[in-house]
Amino acid sequence: MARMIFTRLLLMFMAMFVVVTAMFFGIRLGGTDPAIAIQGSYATAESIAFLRASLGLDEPLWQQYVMYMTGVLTGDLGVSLQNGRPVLEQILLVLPNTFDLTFWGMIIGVVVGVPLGFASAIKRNTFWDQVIRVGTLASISMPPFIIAYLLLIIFAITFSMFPVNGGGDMDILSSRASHLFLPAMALGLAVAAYIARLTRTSILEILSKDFIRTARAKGVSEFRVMTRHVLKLSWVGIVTLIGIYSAVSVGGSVAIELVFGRPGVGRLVIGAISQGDFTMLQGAIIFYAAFVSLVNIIVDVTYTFLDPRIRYT
Amino acid sequence: MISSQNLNYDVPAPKSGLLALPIKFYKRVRSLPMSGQIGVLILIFVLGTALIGPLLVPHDPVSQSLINRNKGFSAEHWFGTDAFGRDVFSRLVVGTRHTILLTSSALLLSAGLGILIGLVAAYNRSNWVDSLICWTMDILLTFPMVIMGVVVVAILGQGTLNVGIAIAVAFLPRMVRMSRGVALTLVTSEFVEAARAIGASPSRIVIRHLLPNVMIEMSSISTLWLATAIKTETSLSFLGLGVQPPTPSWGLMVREGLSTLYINAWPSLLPVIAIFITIIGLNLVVDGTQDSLNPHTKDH
Amino acid sequence: MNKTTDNKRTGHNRRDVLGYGIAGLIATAGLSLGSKATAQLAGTLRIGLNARDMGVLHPHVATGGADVSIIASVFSGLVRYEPTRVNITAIQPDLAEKWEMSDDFMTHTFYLRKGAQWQKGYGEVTSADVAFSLSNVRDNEQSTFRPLYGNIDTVETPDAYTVVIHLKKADPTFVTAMANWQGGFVICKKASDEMGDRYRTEPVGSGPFQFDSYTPQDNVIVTAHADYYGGTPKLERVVYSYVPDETSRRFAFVQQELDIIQGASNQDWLAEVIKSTPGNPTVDLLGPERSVNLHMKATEEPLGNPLVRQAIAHAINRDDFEQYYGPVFKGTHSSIPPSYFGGLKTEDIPEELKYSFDPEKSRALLAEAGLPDGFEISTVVSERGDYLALAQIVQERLAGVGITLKLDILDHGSWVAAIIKEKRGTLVWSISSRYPSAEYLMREFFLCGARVSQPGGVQGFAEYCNEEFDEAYAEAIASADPEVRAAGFAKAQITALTDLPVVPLGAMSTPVLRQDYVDLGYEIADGEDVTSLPYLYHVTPATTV
Repeated sequence: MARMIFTRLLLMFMAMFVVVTAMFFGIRLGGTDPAIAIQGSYATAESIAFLRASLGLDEPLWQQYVMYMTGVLTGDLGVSLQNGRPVLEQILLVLPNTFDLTFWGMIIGVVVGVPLGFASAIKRNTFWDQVIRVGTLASISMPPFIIAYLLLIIFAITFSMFPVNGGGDMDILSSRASHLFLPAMALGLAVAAYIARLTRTSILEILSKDFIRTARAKGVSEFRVMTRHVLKLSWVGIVTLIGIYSAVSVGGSVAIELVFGRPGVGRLVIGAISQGDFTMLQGAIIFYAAFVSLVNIIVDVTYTFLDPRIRYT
Repeated sequence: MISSQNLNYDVPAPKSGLLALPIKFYKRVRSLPMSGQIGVLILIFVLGTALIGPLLVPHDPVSQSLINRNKGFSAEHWFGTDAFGRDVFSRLVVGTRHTILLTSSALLLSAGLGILIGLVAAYNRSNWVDSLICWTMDILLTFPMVIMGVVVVAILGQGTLNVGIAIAVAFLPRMVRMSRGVALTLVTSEFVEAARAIGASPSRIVIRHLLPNVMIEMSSISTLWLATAIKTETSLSFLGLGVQPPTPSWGLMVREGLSTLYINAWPSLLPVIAIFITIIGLNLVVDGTQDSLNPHTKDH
Repeated sequence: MNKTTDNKRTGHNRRDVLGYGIAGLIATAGLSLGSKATAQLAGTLRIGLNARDMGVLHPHVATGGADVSIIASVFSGLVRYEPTRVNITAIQPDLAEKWEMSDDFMTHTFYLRKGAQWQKGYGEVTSADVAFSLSNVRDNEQSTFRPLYGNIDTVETPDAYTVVIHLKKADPTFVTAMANWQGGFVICKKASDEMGDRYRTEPVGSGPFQFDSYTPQDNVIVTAHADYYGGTPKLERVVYSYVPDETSRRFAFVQQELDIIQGASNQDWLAEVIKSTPGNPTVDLLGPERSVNLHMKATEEPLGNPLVRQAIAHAINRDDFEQYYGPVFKGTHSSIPPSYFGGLKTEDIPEELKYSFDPEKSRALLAEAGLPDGFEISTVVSERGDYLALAQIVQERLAGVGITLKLDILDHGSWVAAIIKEKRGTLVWSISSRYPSAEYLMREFFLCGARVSQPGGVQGFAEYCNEEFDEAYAEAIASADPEVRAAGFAKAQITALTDLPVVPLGAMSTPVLRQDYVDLGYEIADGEDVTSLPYLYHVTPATTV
């Protein structure tokens, strides 16, 4: 087990190395000139040249690369080209917001999605199955940002039940929770629809297996069939889903942060692109990659607990 | 995307070759459940709009009119005008072309590259080439679709072409994985073995045997991926990283229309409806084909 | 920072997760009862800025409108403008109690008030700080405003409360350079030395509010500076939120989650927000106005021909812009808006130099220039909405007289690079906000030294150079007499209009909205022109909600 985790972590670091390298050269060869973005309407040819020099952008590319990588390896992601503050510090400042959103988005996704999928499978071809299938179909047929706007307009604007903008005061629980509710809901509903549909399919598949038929034939109660056999088997599938949809959830969080004006890593990325803030962009992408990779490792570890047949070497 | 190799048996050899395909298609569609048939109709409508619509629109989708801002529905402007006085109907139709053609050609590009790489990997399954490819694709796969698109746009810059590339790159690892998987099962299968035994060259095996099978497998999942691609494109455009104004695209129209949401909601509401209907259509088709193929989950 | 912040940074432990559970319950049960999530908060003023994020909060570096409005509440200058007006007659004592200048306008002496305190315990504001601040703005390569303060020769500090400034060239209006704006903001020597680069984003000033915290992409919070020499501010804190999306700003303002917002330059939008917001919110159109111009590069044919430039000017209808932008846009006939000191009033411009909309005349001029069928020209333009709309409106009108304008649309950064670094752009639209006195825009647009092709060039996109203009300008700025200055500026403007390197299109003000419960602490009369350099209301110690 320890060896497996070690191998996976090693792979993750190698992967990150490749990603960072590709990003470093890719972005510097294209993208917006940060010196221009910073100076706005006061920019002159001379001041741009000076700023580029002082940001170290005129050094040979390989030299910049070596410096940056040395920094990254020692945990220093550099400073933002936009405002000179350390990138890592800024990411850590907004990370709780993004964590809140994706964590609760996933929780809502699982808590809503799995029972819906389960119910849909058990009550297959009934009225409720149809309702759930149409509902989930509608939900996956909209990009998450549209779901976010719908929730925002209905619950925050029309009924004034929740605040419309910002992340709230992170130190005050009620403020934090009320600002989180709608965004997490928007993300959660988007994820829940996928999870419900996949859960339904996998449960139907389990139900069609011979041992279920045997159990039923033996006169085992329906409740027992469900709890003993179906639920137990479906856990493995659900954990896989969490792995897959944590990535979807992270991706969806970018647009949702924008809709609700929440601070977060997604908004850092979008801002960094428009400002040509290379270092910030790289830092944020490293974080995303690390987050998703970590979740995947955790999922793999969980497997081995849930299903002793799965073994990694 | 609907066609599949297992139709052949129920189609009597048609006299006219020209009619063969539509008849096949029709029979296949009729074999779908009701919801799937509706899905096909929706897709035909959307594709028709994308292909022919822009030739028929009544107005130039980018020409502005200062006097005719935020007008309601009328005979002149069927869906009214937006905050710049542009004809919403024309923008919607031309936007359909941008969104659909952009995403589907991105998927085609991705599929082409993906099949190629996947086959190379499968063919080299016992040496380092395969490991390297798998490993690279695993890395790419850890990135969420939208983030991947954002990174590519950050590197290449904004613009229609670059969004297409972004979507293609984002789908590449999925394509490679799938085609490699399919190819692997086939490479070891009897008919490839047989082909090899009778002395067929590797390229012939790939072109005549592997490629068609991989493509058939991929065509059905691509429908589902097209839905994801459309969502990715609209999300990127919404984030301001996609198609650049004044070119219409659905995501961009939603974003631009938002500023006048409370004056005239239609410019942003209509593209939302268009996105919604299209993706529902795609999903209905996917559901229908899956249900009709899988005996376990078949509904009727 | 404090302890809670440190915890936050270390990540999430089990108790956090438990906390989330409780938070979730509170969110669903408590808030769904229909209670208004965040109504007006006593002691807190919430401002919605039209910006993505903080840039820098160093007054000598920052140019972004959003940064400057925060800087204006954290820092103070030797003198200040009485709110709602920005001109030399509105200047009031601030850190300096009184000031005087020598008869030759070469030496300016400021006497500081005693007991003015820096925020966060950095001690008293002394002449050493002022000298340090001025040398920083003039000499530090990172200072954006170096060119504007190059006239300062030496700064003497005979005692802790006296600053004597010697200039290289006479400047009778030098006191405006010491006002609460850009290089006039005094920075703290001790804090700047101790904090190094951090001072750029965690400023320490002597103004009524002190920097408290910054959350990336979210907000900057400033709190009352208790030892402020003008008295402790009534507000406890001011939250400057970054809300770049105008729809989000609209939502938050209508729900009264924000008390003051920067509006959108769109008539329909403003009217709708005012209608939907409870109470009686107010829109103010703040100056200084941004001057909107079309520069025509004289080195590109056929723009070298004055007849062609006049033809272009006559083809443009300023009413188009007024209709498009609504009351925030006023058509003007001089590049210096009439509301600026020295700006020519429309009625003082000779009829033939107004270049009013007249397509017939435009065609005639083209024919006279030997181009009866018009011509084709291409240029680059920014994809940013405000620039692109200007270009497209002009494009439509030029087509009306047979001039085909091809627009190469670039993203904003690439466009700036194209016009400034690569000197591209045959036609360049500019939207410029400067200090509301004629010399600044003139210096950047029309002086021979301003040409972009020149070393040290600024915004002379038209490549314009006329000795007569430079002389009239020099005469004007050398005089202390406002009338002589105004006359010199007027003469220079007439010269520029005769040569017509630039078509003046109009002047745009910035719409700012405030809820009816906001008391700014100073009166704004109905219909009064409000000028505020940060493009936002000044938050004063007397401001309350």
